[in-house]
Amino acid sequence: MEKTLAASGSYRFNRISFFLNGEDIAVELPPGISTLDFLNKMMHMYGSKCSCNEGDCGACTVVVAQAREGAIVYEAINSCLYPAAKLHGKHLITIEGLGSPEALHPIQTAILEHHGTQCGYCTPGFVMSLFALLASIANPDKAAILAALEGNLCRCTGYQSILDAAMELSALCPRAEIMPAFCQAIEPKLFSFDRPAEDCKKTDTSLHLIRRYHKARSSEEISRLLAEHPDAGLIAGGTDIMVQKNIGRRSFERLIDLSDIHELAQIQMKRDGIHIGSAVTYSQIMDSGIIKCDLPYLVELCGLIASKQIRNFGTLVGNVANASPVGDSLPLLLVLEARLVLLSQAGQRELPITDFFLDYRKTALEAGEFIREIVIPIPPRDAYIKTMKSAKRKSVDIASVVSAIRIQKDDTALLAFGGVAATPALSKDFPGLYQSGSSAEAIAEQVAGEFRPLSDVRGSSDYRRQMIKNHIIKYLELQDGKASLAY
Amino acid sequence: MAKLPWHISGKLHACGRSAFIADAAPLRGMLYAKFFYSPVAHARIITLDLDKAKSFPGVHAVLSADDIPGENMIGHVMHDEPLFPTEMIMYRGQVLAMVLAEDESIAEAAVELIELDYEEQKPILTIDEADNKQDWYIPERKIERGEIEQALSESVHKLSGTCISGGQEHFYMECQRARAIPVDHDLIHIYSATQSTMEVQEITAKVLGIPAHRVAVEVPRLGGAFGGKERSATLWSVLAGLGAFLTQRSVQIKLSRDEDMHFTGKRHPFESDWEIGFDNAGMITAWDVLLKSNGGAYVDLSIAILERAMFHADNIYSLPNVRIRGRACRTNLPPNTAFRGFGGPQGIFVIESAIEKIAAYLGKDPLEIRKINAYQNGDIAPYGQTITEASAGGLLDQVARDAEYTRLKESVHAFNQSHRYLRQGLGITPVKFGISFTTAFLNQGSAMIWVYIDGSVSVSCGGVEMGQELSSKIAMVVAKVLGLDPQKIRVESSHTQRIGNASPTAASTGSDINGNAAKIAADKLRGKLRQAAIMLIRERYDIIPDEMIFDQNMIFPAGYPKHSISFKEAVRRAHQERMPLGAYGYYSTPNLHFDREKGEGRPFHYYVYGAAISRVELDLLSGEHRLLSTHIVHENGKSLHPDIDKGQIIGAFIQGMGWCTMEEVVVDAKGQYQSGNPSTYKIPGIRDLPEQLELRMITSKSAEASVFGSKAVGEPPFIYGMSVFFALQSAIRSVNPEAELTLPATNEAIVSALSSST
Repeated sequence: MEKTLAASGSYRFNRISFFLNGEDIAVELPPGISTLDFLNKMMHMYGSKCSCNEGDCGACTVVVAQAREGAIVYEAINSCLYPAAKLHGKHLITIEGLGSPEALHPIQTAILEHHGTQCGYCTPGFVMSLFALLASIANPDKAAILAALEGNLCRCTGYQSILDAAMELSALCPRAEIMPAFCQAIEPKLFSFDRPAEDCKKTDTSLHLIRRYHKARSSEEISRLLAEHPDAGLIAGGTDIMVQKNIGRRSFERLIDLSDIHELAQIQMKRDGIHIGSAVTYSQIMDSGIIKCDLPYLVELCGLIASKQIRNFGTLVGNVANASPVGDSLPLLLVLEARLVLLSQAGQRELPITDFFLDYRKTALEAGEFIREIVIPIPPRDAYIKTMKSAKRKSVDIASVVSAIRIQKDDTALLAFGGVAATPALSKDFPGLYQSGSSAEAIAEQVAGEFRPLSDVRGSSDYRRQMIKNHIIKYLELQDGKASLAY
Repeated sequence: MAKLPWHISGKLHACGRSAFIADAAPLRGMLYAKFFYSPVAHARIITLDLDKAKSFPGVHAVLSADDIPGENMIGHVMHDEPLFPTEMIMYRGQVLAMVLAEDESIAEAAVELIELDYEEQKPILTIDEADNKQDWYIPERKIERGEIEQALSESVHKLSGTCISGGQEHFYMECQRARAIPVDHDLIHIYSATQSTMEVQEITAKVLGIPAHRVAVEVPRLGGAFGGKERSATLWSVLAGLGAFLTQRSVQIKLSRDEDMHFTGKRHPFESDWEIGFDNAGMITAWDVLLKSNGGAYVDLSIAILERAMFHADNIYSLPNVRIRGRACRTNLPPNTAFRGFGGPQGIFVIESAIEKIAAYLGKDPLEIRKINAYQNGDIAPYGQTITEASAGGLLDQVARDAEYTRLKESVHAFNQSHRYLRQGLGITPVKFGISFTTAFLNQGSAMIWVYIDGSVSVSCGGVEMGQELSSKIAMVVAKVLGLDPQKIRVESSHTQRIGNASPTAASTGSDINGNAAKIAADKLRGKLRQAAIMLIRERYDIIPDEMIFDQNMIFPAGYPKHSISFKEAVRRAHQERMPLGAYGYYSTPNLHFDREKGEGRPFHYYVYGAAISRVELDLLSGEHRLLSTHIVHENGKSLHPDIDKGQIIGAFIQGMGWCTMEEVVVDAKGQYQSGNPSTYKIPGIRDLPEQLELRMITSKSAEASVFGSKAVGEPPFIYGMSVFFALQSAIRSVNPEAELTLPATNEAIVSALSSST
């Protein structure tokens, strides 16, 4: 571990205002403090629980309400990874706001009556995830409930009682009873909120890993800041950077938060494809009508990424910029031949994503440059496009191998893998092998030879090589419906 | 019948208001502890330089072995584990020094300044390495009945093999923690996240060199434990106590998830060699097994865990000739420790694997092999205990009926014939689980009840509430005896100054020993209140009552419900008559004994029985599976609260399923856990529930059962998770009959088992 906490305590604090459980508050935040630490350590509110501090367990789940495209959205997030400075102008709803032992919220009653709590440590997180779900969707089905709760771990109950409670709430509890009056009262204030976020110099006896957390207001401001401070880190959601800080204890001199820049939070259909801005979250992608219609496999893929809480503030462009060899979205973006729009003070340029990943976590981004948006050309409707992810657990897991395929009648045949090399990569041999009509087994054998996967805790090199083969066989098997036996 | 109460803390939990240790505002002057952990698994310490850390601004103290006023020893069963090692580092992550600072970040920064000079030694990490050196905590243990050698040589058929089962991380949601507060310069009050208040008190006193009564240990509740806070909590609580004692300031310790997963002990991995003899029908004639466990760097509870594994090496099967041997191996890993089942699952897994082999070898149904070998009344377990309420055979029949086993088998067969890459499989696992601490003296419990003048009731017991709803059950027991509404009873924290010398809340015995103690105390109070009530009724109604009924907060003579007085009136009268309104109850489980040398005795008060059948659908290419259904039949005595027990059964099943499938503890060649955080170690999530889960709880009359005819429920259902493993194994063996699947059956293990054969 690099030595990270310096002795001197001069920092730039963020001065923000927002709503906390219906109350208008203004606070000065140490740079980069998480929402969970803000609640626990500054407010001494301990209902939101710290269990893993890396977004894997959901015990710290809170709900953030904010205005988006003319509506107020209620989204569950992992407060341990959500920088509190992002709360500016939003409504933070925590377990303390939802009900009291004397006047339980209907979700709390259902949990109690179904014996959905044992040790109680995970319970507030489950309640908040259910609150976000039931505040957003009327009568969610089992699939929606599982998606909403997959990011909450419970070691006691085995989940059945919690699922039963959720199913009953879905069937019997109208949204009007779910939504507390204080939430409704805040909604108009979220639309009209116009106070600026500020920052101020402060000394602190506590030591902080992040010295300055800059909330950028425009793309131009980001370019300017990056030109001045080429080492500054960019933060969109923060679902990776905050893990590096919380767990890896990595320090950052300066982080630039781009999530509040409206123009970067757009999904737009243009002549050259669908443009997805760098502040667009996975959840926005999954909810987008444009993407559901034209890139349904991207919606399916996003559903495999992390948990609802992470998808609500993690971004697709962040996944690209992070350049992890096992980034879930990267093989699909490679076969879709996505392009990246890169911006710096020198101007704007476009780069095919296939040229972006240079080496392990090394990209073609130049100093002072950042990804403004990603452009995905729309493939023909009858293209066969699919992704597969192999991991230990069905959900909320990092892949050992992830892949994507695209086959079109015009002889386009692309296959990409993550987790089998230093970068996510297209198979060089696959197009030729496929077009020449080789057998699935032969293709699998040869493509597996292209990669030299490493062994680590998520899988041995043998297993990964086997998965390369098996993914290929499965893709081709599923594509070819003529087999005499069912899959 | 009165409605059963909800979780006694349920409203607080659901509202995030329940108090967990150290999830509370800092106390004035409180110091935060951070630790310098050993960077290597095995080394000789040359020097440990704390000076730079001590002079870091904001640091109040840096403590190491030199600062201990009493004994540098936290070993309990054996005196082998120092608080801080002074010569040899025995595992990676062993605590070498503790920094106390006014702020967590300052403590963390100061830890970075500590310098250790050491001479690294080669660590022993695997069972094989330790076993080859005969580095065992105790000489090999043995339980033997019949003539094993002769029976094996005369058996019509013989099979043998090796069974490997992996470790398991507890993953209690609340990590290890403690807060210690000096009181009056005389007492150290430790809020300790422990299952064992007595042990923390005893060892803290020893380390501080003060009498035990100057250490108060209190546990309001735990955010899960599962055995991981029975012994492993002691270290952290003692450290907090030491810090508070030496600085006379409050000290808080909270481990991060990563620290907890990297540096604390886990379920013992086992490696077991077995040989089984049987006849043409599949009747077992001989069972010879050698169980070897990976105990980690100090003995901890390894001996008792090995012993329980040996006691469960028979599972539900009658074994005329049997030899069970056990070795607890010493390695340079964090000391492995108690985890739900406590060796039982590891022992059961071996014989269940052998049963599967017999079935395959004879071409018979594994259900049939299990049934014909199941214990009958009058059979004798390998350690000499007579089986008197055998029910496993009947429960196997019941679960087969519930799951429509015969039809299911046909449909699985048909499915497998009609798919290329999908295979279904069925797995069956029965359980017989022995209830009692096998260390007989631990089977004792105390409770204390106060009835206050307004009729409200406060109950303390030695048991710790950790989510198993012990407190709800205690309230129900007391409520039942005193005829009160359970919601009106307060069940207090566990506190050594109220209930001393408490056995750990463990071995599924929590409600048995504490519930019985509470019942005894409540019966004493009932006796006094009966006298007071008789006085009042005699005066008020002019009748001379004999048998008194306590019901719904009222007391009345049997047959005269209208001639009642309120509970509160009886309390006031008893007080006026100078009768005690406090009572102490003490219970010890009768008729338990075990001779460790001979391997003979009656270690268990009774057994809990059950069986499960699971059906999986396996994708041969990805190694992924769907858990289509699980049927469980669980024999439960007369449950105090069926909904609580249902929660325990399903929770344990899912935890067991995790151990058998996705939970993989990975350690590298240096003795470092590679799976030391939640992104690399996966416990089941909500999507891992069976698509169909059916549970039948069978109410049984048992002469041996415990308080109000109830039976323990914590550990036995963990075994049902194994049905998923055997279902996966069966699906794999439908493709490749020779495949050997290791536990946990991760996707990788499945793919590897499939490809090893073809």
